Amino acid sequence: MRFLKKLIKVIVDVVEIHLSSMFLFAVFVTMFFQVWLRYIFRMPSPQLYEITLYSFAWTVLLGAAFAHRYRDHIRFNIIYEKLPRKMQLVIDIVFDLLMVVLFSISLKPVFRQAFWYHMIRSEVLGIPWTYLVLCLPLFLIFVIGHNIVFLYYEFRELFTGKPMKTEEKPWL
Amino acid sequence: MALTVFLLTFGLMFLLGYPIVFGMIAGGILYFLVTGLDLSNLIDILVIHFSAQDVLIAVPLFIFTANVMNDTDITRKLFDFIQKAMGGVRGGLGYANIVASIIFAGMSGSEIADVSGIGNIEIKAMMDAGYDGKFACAVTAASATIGPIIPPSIPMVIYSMLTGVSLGYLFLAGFLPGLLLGFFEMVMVYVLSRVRNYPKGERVPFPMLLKAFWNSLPALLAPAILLIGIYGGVFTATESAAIVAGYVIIISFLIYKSLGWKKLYKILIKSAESVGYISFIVASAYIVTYVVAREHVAEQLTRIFIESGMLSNKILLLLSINLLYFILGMFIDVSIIQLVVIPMVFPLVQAAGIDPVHFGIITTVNLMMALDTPPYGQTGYITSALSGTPLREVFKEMIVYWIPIEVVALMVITFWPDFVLFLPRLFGYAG
Repeated sequence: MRFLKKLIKVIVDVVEIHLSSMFLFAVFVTMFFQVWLRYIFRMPSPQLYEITLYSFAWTVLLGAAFAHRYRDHIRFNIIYEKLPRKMQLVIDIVFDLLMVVLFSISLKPVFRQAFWYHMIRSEVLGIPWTYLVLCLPLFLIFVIGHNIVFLYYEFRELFTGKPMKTEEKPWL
Repeated sequence: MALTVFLLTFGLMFLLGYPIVFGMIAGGILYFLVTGLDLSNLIDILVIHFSAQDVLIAVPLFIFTANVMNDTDITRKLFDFIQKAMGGVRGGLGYANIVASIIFAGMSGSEIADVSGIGNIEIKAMMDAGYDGKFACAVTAASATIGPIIPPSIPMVIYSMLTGVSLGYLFLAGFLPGLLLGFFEMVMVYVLSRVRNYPKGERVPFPMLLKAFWNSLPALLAPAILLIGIYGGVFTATESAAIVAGYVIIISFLIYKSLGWKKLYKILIKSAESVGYISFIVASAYIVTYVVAREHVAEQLTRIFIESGMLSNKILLLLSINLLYFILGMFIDVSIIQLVVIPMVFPLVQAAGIDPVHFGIITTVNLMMALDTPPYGQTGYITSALSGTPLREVFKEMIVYWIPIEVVALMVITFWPDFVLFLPRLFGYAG
């Protein structure tokens, strides 16, 4: 069980933290070299442009799952912070559960569509669009996973009063 | 019925403090379920349509650039030079704060990056020099509003994506309003420094000033490279983000020697997370745009405005939109205001014959003010946390002195379109 937990954490870390950072770096490098190739060598590169677009989509979706893990998404918390802790927990449980249900319902059609896109290929590199859009089902899976973990800790705190430990951010 | 389900879900999740992106997506999924639409449409909306907007690629790169500048010595060196240049003047650090924000604005494009990066250094320097915390916080928060008005600018990128208005012209149009706001804020620093007898800085000998200038020169060149590149036709406004990021990385590695591979990787991780919550909110807002379009909300709104006769009165319309932005800005995050309100009011603005570039600047200034206005003024929270000054004092200072001066600048910008459009027209804008 401990091994399994560790394995899952490693996979989540690799995909959310390291892969999203690598894709961001790819966005930067490909965009940077596009300008140099076009302006200095008079050689525009549509190949690099396609890589930029694919990397951009992956950075955003994986980064969004990553941000959810640390509960860093933007929220309007003026009312929430005025509520007693138990009420906050109930709200979190209801909405986390709702997201799990809605994202689980969406998974099948989203996967089906993602694989349907195998027929369409990018104009220059010929990469199937599946590889572009697969970041969305992955995002859904990661959010479902994070929410299940959140729900476990929220129920635990609700019944035992033991608060969830916050994970240290990887850039600190 | 479907629209009600969408609004109720989104509204409830939003009001009760659940992440706004998930409120939009949950509302969207329920809307799809009620209307019988296939959920596979989520891919088209959240990935394909979103990634096709190549102008948005600039957003992650601006975030990355700002993080590189803040986590290396660039920001500190910039402020050090400006601080020395303002030495000997009463309230000199207040002016330095504003000038530093204007220069930082030419590289980062994000107000929050300004407040939490260079703002941190500014507040500490001001408090060490004997300024009170509320003034240090308020001037930092107010000067940070200039950031996204002077190019590059993340809100302008999003506005351009939503409306199809040229990003290059928007960037040009932001210059003079940004400088005007800076000027108004300097007037406020002048007045308050005299009334409250804030300290004069030490006059720095010329060789020391020259040395500080030399140290900060590579950083000072970044905005110049950006502008010459964009308006010299070397690269597009979107590509400029990558060029500035590259330049900042190169000078941090080679000249300042304040960046190593390990640090760069940490900055990338931090930036990827920020991109996750900043850019993804734009992708999710496409669901709102989709629902608004499918339910003809904008058309209905336009009809109501036409029937009320408001579209024939530009002044009234602009005042109403400014007031709407101001009220929403007190309670809602700027990205939400932008993504939800612009698709609804832009048709009205077009129907009333208001220039879209001019309106883009009005919108940007409003959005930046929204970051200062309590109770949801994020800059107030950040500066208060950075300085340890009670939030109430920071907001009181903002409400009494700084927000009114921003409103005055906003009115000039709103009702003097020729001033805003002067530079774009100089570069061939036909509006």
